[in-house]
Amino acid sequence: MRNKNPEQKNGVIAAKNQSLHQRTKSDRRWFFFFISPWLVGFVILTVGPMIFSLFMSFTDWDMLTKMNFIGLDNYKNLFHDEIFILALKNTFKYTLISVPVNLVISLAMAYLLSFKLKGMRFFRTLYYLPAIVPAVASSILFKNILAKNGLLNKGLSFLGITGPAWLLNKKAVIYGFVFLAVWGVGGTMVLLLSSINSIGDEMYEAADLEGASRFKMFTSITVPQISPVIFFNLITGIIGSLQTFTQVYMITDGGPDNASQMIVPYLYKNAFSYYRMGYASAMAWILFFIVMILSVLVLKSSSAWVFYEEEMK
Amino acid sequence: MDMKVSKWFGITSVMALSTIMIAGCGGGSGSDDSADGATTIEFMHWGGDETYEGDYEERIKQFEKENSDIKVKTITVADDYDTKLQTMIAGKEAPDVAQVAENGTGFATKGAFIDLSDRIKDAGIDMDETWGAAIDLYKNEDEIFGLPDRGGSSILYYNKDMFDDAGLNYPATDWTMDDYYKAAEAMTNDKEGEDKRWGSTAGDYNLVWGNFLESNGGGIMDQDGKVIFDSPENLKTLTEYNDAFKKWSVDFETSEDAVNRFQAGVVGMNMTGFWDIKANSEVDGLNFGISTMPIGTKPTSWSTGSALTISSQSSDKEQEAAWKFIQYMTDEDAQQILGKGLNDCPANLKVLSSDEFLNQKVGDQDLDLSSIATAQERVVIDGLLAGPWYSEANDEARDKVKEMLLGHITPEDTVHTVQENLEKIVDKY
Repeated sequence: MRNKNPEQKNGVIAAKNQSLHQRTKSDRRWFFFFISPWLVGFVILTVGPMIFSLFMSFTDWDMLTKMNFIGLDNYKNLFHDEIFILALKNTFKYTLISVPVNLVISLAMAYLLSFKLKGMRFFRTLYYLPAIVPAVASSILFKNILAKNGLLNKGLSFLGITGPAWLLNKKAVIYGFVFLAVWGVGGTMVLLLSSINSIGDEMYEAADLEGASRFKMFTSITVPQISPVIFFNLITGIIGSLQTFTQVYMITDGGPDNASQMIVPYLYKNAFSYYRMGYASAMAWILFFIVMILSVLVLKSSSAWVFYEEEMK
Repeated sequence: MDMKVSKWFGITSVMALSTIMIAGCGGGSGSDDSADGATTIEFMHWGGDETYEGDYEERIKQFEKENSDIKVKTITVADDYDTKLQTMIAGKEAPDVAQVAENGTGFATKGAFIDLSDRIKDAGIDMDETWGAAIDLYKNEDEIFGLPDRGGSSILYYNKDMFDDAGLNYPATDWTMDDYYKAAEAMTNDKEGEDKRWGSTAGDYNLVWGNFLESNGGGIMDQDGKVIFDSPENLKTLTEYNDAFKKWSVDFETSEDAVNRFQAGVVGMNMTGFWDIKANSEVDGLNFGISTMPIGTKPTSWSTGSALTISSQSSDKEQEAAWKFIQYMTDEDAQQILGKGLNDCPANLKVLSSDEFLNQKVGDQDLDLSSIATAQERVVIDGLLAGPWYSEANDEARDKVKEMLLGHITPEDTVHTVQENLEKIVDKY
C-alpha cells in the first residue's frame, strides 16, 4: 500500500508529533524540577518580602508593636524629611559623578590594555585586584586613606595640591566616596577589555587601508562594537551606585552632619535605630521606582547609541 | 498540555517548599524545657567573646553550680546588637534575659520587657542603697524594666608625668571645670610632630560634653522628655568647651588615625568610661591616675552602665528562672566576681565601696579606686537617655556639636538648631 489513507497519514504524523510533544513535556518537567529550589527561594525570600514591605510602607510598624494602617502618610512625610531630601541629593550627586567617571576611566584603561605588548597581563591583574577586595575591607582601608593626613593627601602633596579633610569637610566627602568607587574600576575594565579583544581585526585593517587615524578607528569601530557592554555597565553602575550602603555605613555613617548620607544607609537607620520600619519601607519603594525609571530611560535611549551586530544582518 | 506542566510545577514546588519548611521549623531555637526538668534560659549580651570571658563567664558558671535546675545559654553578639534584638523580638524568639543600656527604653516602651517592681519589692531590695540614681535609666513611666548589672560612669584619666612636668596638682574629687581648663592649657604646647602635646581629648563624645552641660545646671533634655538645650547655662558651657577644644584638645584631623594618644603619653587628660583602666595599666611607661569629672555648679557623672531585663515573651517558668538569674548576677557575691581584676565596674554600690573592691592592685599602678565609687554616686540620667528617642536625638545632637567643634557653626546656632531639631524628633515618638 503505497498511499496511506488520510487517517493513517494523520496517524503517523500524529505519532511523530506526539513523541516530539512527549520529549518537550519531559524536558519541561526536568526544567521545573531543577529550578524549583531557586524558584521557591525567590518567591519566599525575595518576592514575598517585597510584597510585605510594600504593605508595611502603608503602616506605622516598628517591628515590635501592632501594625496600624496609616495610608500614604509615610510617603507624604518623606517629602518633608530634610535628611531624606539631603540623602536623595547626595545619592544622585554620587551616582551622576562616579558612574560616568568610572566608565570613562575603565574604557580608557581597557583600550590601553588591549595593545598586545609585553607585561600587559601583569597590569591587567594589578588593576583588577581592587575589584575583588570585599567592600567592608576596602571601606576600612579608605577610612585611613581619606584622612586629612592619609595617603591620598600625601600623594596630592607631591603634585603641590593640599587636599581637604575628605571625611570632615561637607563639600569634599562625596568626592572621597567617588575616589573609592574609582579605585574599584577594575571590574568594569575587565569586561570592556574582553569585549575589545573580541573585535575582529578585519575592520581595523579595512579602516587602515582607507587611511583612518587611531582616534577615528577608536570612535567609529571600537566604541560601537563594544557599546552593548558599555550599556550593560552603565545600567548596572547606576543601579549599584543608587544602592550604596556598605561604604557609607563603614566610613562616615552619613557624616559629617549627614553630608554623606545616602538613601539606603538612611533607610537602614530608620528601620533599625529609630523604630520606623514602615517609614523605611516607603523609602525603599521610592528608591525602587527611581531606579526603575532611570533604567527605563537608559534602555529607551540605548536604541540611539547601542549597536548590536545581529540587528544589521 | 498546560495542565500537566502546571501539575509538575506544582508537585516540585510543594516538595521543595515542604523540605524548606521542615528544615526551618525543626531547628527552631527558643528556650525549651529539657526532658530532665531543667529550665534553659537564653541570655544575650554585646561586646563579643572578650566581654563574655571577662564579665560573664565566671558568674554564669557559678550561678549554674548553685542552681542545678537552670541552664543558661549565652548568645554573644559582636556587632549590631540593637538590630539583632529587634529582629528576635519581632520574630517572637526574644532571649529571656537581654542586656540593655540607653537602648533599653526604646524597647521597653514597646512592651518588650516585664515590670520588675513587684519582684524587687518582694525581695526586699533597697534600690537607693544598692544602685542610687543609676536605676533611673531603666525606668519607664512607673515600671522598672532592668536591674543594673555593669556599672561605671564617666571618669577622668590623667597622665601623672605630664601633670608633674607642668607643675600641677593632681585632680581630686572636688576639682572644678576651671581647674580642668587651666590644666588643659598648661599641658598643651605648640610644638609639632613628635613633640606635640595636648591637654585633653575632649571632643564630640556626648559622655564628655553632655556631662559638662549637666554639671553646669543645664542638660539636653529633662526628666519629662522636654528639650532644654537652648538655655543660657548651656550656651555658656558650650562656648567655653568650644574655645577649649580649639586650643587644648586633640583636633579631629589628627585623631582621624584612631591612635590612642592618651596611652601614647602625649595627652594629659582623657574622659571616658571605666573600661580603659585595665588596658591603660598594661601600657609600659604610662603613669596614670583616675578621678571624677570636673565639677561645674554641681557634681555629676554620665552613666555608662548596663542592666539585665526579662523578656515579656518568656513563659512563666522561664521568667521565674530568669529572675533568679538576674537577681544572682546583681547581688553582692556575683558583683564582687565582676569587679575582680577590674574587668568591669559593678553597678552594686555596696560592692563598689567595699574594701575588697577598692584595695585591688591594678598591674603595678598605685591607683586610688575610691573615685569610682564617688563618680557612681554622682550619676545623673539626662532625659536624652531615658526615652525611645535616644538613638535619633543623640545622632542629631552629636552631629551638631561636632559641626560646632569643626568651626562650621557657632555655639549660638548650635543651641538654637539642636533645640529645634530635637523637639521635632521627640514629637515623632
